[in-house]
Amino acid sequence: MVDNYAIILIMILTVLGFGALLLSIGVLVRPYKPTPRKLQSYESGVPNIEPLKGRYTPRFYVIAILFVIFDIEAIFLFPWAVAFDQLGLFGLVEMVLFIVILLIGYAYAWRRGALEWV
Amino acid sequence: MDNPVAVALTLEDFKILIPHAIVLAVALLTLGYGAIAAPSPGRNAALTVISVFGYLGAIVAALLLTGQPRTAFSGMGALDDMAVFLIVVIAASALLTVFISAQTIPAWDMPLGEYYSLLAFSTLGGMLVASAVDLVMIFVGIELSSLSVFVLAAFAKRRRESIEGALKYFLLSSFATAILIYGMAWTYGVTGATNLNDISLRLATYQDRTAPTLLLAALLLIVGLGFKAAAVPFHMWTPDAYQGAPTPVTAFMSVAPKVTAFAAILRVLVQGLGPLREQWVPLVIVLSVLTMALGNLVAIAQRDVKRMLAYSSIAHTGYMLVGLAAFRQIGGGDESIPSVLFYNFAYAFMNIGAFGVLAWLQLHGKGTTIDDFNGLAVTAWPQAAAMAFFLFSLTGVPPLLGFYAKYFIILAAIEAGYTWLAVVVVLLSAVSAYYYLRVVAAMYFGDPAGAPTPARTRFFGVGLGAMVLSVALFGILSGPVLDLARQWYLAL
Repeated sequence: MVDNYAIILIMILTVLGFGALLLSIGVLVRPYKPTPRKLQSYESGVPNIEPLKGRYTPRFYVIAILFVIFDIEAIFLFPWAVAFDQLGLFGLVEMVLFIVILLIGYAYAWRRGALEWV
Repeated sequence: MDNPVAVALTLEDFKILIPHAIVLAVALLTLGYGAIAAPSPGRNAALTVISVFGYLGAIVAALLLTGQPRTAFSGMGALDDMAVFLIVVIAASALLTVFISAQTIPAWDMPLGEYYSLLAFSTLGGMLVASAVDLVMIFVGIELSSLSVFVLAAFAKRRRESIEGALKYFLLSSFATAILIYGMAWTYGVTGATNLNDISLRLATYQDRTAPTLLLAALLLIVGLGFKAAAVPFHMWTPDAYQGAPTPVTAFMSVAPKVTAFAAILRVLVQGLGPLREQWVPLVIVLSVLTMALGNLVAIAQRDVKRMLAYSSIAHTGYMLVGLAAFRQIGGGDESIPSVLFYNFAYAFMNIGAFGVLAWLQLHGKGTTIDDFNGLAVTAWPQAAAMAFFLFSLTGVPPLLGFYAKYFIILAAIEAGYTWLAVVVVLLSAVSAYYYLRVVAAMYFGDPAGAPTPARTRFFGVGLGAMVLSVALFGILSGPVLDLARQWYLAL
């Protein structure tokens, strides 16, 4: 019992120590010559046109929530597909019910304009 | 090959979910239809009809499934008769809320489809808790129930108070949820089971029932559930959330989540932690006295009737906790849990009724302060009479429903040997008469201050009428209803 926790503790310490070691080696070894161009958020990318502290439109939030929902659907679908043979008809019915409920939510979101980007 | 995912599910298992499936159908239909059809009075009427028949169907289905206690889904759920009783109370409170919402919500420019859908989801969560015999199912049900209510509390999204109250409710409730699940984790850690019957069986074999781990588990569970039931000192969110929410929502959230919380309390503390009775009863007694005292005393100072009813709903939690404190053992001769069940039943009708009249008043261009009730008996006598009826019932005036609810609680307390607790209930009921009857006095003796502006309120009449009838009729029939509660509880 205690041994198991000791292993976890050793792992935590190893990870912390190793991370600190690598970072400090980097600081000691790498050259440091900052230029304004290098300090941009996307170096070698499109130049910033406004500061990053600006406000975001809440549409991102709606899209993110919708994304999470369908992401979770996919997460449920994978194990179901793997175990499809064992689950049989029961699994199929359950999954169809699940997807129908999700589709109603999808239709609702679509109909209420959550997917439109004006 | 050994089948690792084999779950022994039969069609019988799904039978216990028929009432839940009907409410789920209501939620999906109202959501879908509300989004597809263009807003019109016809659409709103159709949505209301779907909801009304859905809840009626769920109540009838639950009642048809009584008398044959079956556990299903490998012991996760059971539709025993106590579950049926609680399901009927929760579905009935949703039904009554529909009646007082049908015209108020569209009149205040809120989308009715989403409103009914969230109402149904919250009801579904409560019903799941009522028929759950497993800590995990109880948790899922409580979350479904409260998440929907958070959104409903913020439904008047252009009003600052609504957002503020909903945010407070959301944050404190999330906090309580964390405590609750921590308590469940400790319970599981000590007993090694999440099924409440297993927990009870294992606890009964323990020699040392005052082990710190067990006490911690019980404490965390009581704190978490106390938050959801709005018991003092975990009531901080209640007044603001109740006052900020649209009045029909307040009516619903003062009843359904509370009944849900009590369903969880009955399942967890009585069915699961029953063997630890001697450890948790003192705690429940302290909570009940604090809750009754603070709820009743602070309600006196309120000029706003909505806020006053919020504090009064805290006080009613206290009365219900008194019934719980009288618990001795599951089985014959124990009047405590039937009295709690009956109190929940009674509370649903009279409290939604009182909030209903308030919503009616707001729909007719009035505010919610006590001055808005001045002379209502002259300008709108049926509504004034209904309000007086509900308030008398909340005070506990015989022969109304509220009187019998309190009577059975007091009886249970005395039988359990807590005579002093019964005296506290009576004294604080006398205090409550002051603030309830002040509204009645304003309605009947105050000078009429402008007639209410007319508005279409067809459903209101039906709903308020049904509630007045129930408060009177079930008051007279309280004996049979309590017998039913007792008999159904004994079938546990």
